[in-house]
Amino acid sequence: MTAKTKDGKEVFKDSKIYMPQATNSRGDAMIYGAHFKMGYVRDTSLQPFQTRVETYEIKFPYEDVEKEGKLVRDIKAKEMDIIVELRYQLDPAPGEEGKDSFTFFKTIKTVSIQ
Amino acid sequence: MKRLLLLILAMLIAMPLTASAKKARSIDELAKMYDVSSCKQCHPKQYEEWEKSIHAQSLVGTRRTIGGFKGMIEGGLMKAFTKAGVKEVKDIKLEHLAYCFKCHAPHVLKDGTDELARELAEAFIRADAETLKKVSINCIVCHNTKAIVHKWQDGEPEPGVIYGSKEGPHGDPKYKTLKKSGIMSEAIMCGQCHGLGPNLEFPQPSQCGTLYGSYLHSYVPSAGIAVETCQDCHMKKDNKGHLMPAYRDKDMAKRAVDVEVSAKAYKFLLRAGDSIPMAVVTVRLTNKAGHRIPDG
Repeated sequence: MTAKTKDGKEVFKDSKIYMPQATNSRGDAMIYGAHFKMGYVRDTSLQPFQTRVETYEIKFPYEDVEKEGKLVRDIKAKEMDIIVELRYQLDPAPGEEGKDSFTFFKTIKTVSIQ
Repeated sequence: MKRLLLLILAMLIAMPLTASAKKARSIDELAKMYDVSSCKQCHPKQYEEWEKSIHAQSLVGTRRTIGGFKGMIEGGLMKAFTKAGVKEVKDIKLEHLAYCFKCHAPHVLKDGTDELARELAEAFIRADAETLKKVSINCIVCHNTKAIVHKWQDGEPEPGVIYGSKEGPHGDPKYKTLKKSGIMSEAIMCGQCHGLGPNLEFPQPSQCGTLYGSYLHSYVPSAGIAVETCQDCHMKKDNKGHLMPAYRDKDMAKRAVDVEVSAKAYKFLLRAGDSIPMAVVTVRLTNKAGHRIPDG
């Protein structure tokens, strides 16, 4: 999830990781590698027929400025593009699309404020 | 009498040699035993689909599988697993690779030798994809080696038999008979490898895919009477057949997760005079697959 103002400036970025997380069942450290894994310690993956709802609150960039002895809220950008992307990623880094990660869904929503 | 003793002695010596002669001692010998090139003549569509599949490179994968094996040998067997008895490749036996080959190459366990295990281990360490592609989950592995799970009812898979949906003769010089498999269209066929959880039958258990566990314990209870099989989604819908695609396929990806996004901007008022210009974005993700995402 990324929010950008119309001039391309990024004002918000967040990501959620959906995956089963394993240990070797003899400690609390998460590990990788099928030969070391031996049980899940946490599972944030998407479960069959279940709906996960994520809510984000993103502030438009603003600044409080003094005008004629009063504090006025000056909204620096009144329009933002919200980019939402769901990727199936094989490694922690996104890498190359179609090889290391696969985009399941992507949309851009434009929001504006008066 | 002396002649008879000599004959018995000769037979005793020859027996173990004959038995070991049936086992593959090299990658090329195994590839020859499990050669499926003749399948293409009568089943070109299925063969071409399979050729492009990940099953056709089960020791290579998306190259992460090679890396996984290399890590398992160098970081696991030769380093972390100090009681495994493996310091160098020469110490490796089939049993050391069994927890991976159970699914990635079950025919190596069935018909291979320690010598073959060591040749494969060397190929993994070299990350030699071309050599490792000679060993794969192919027609014979699914339609014979892994075609029976009810062995107390159906016995072991018979040599020369292709298990599928029909009974009768089969026009292949090596596999001359067709027999019905009780599981070929059932989820358990895939579930044998697309796993349940830790493989506790091994001295050092491993845990690779847990997808079948998720299918059984999450999907089936949620699906009610509309339970579908792995084959329904990965082979039949979209007519993908023996390609059996998953996350890398755009149609599968589209079918797997529903995403709805709504966004709204307004001025949030926490307290008088502190009006915050804000966008609220709600993302709803619904998993429509028969298992957790991700899994394998």
